[in-house]
Amino acid sequence: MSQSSRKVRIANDLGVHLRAAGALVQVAGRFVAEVWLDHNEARANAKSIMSVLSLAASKGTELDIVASGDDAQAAVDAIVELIERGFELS
Amino acid sequence: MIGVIVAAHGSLASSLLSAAQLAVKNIGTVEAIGIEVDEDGAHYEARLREAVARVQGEGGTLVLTDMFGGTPSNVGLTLHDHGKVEVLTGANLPMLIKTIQLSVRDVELTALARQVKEYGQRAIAVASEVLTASAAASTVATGTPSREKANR
Repeated sequence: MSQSSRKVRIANDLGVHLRAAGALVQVAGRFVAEVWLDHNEARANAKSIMSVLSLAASKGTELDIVASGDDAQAAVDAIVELIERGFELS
Repeated sequence: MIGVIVAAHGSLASSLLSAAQLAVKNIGTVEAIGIEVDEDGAHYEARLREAVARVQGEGGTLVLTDMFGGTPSNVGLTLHDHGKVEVLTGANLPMLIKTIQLSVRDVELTALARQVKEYGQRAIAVASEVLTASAAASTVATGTPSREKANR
């Protein structure tokens, strides 16, 4: 069981909107690791759209991507990459 | 696999489905069946019945309607068949997203409907209440060294 985390800043104008949350949940779902998005004192489950949207993360928000599980490192890398690409799925 | 029908007034069904597909695309078997202003009940019932049969998976069909007591809902209820066709009223966007996500998993029809009902209720929030609750939570959290956070 490994753990991994990385901070990333939301760069796109609309922040984590519905389509973005859908893409994020889709990417997180590819991994067996549990994945969370931490912002201040709030924690969202990266595999739940409603949970991700509940962060109401706007442009400029810094999120801590935290994962726990065998593929934690890969999960964190994939989510950071998605956010840095402005939530465009490759 | 459970088939999903969104049954609602006017263009609400197709609009709700378009919005949900921003978040969950290319998943499951879903159709929107809206009732037109001048459409009679019998005609709508025939269209809904055909759609229910068309999308039916091995786990049955869930008909998600906009409002209890409305025609899409009333017609949907006539198609109710325990374990095969379930009807869930009061659709909102989170409910439809959740329904689509669960429809491709190994979930029993009635259990899916119950889970989505609770999920939809939890998705309703008054901004003032949410903001007051998070302000209170961060006050508490400031004095707490623990990294354990609420899993919302």
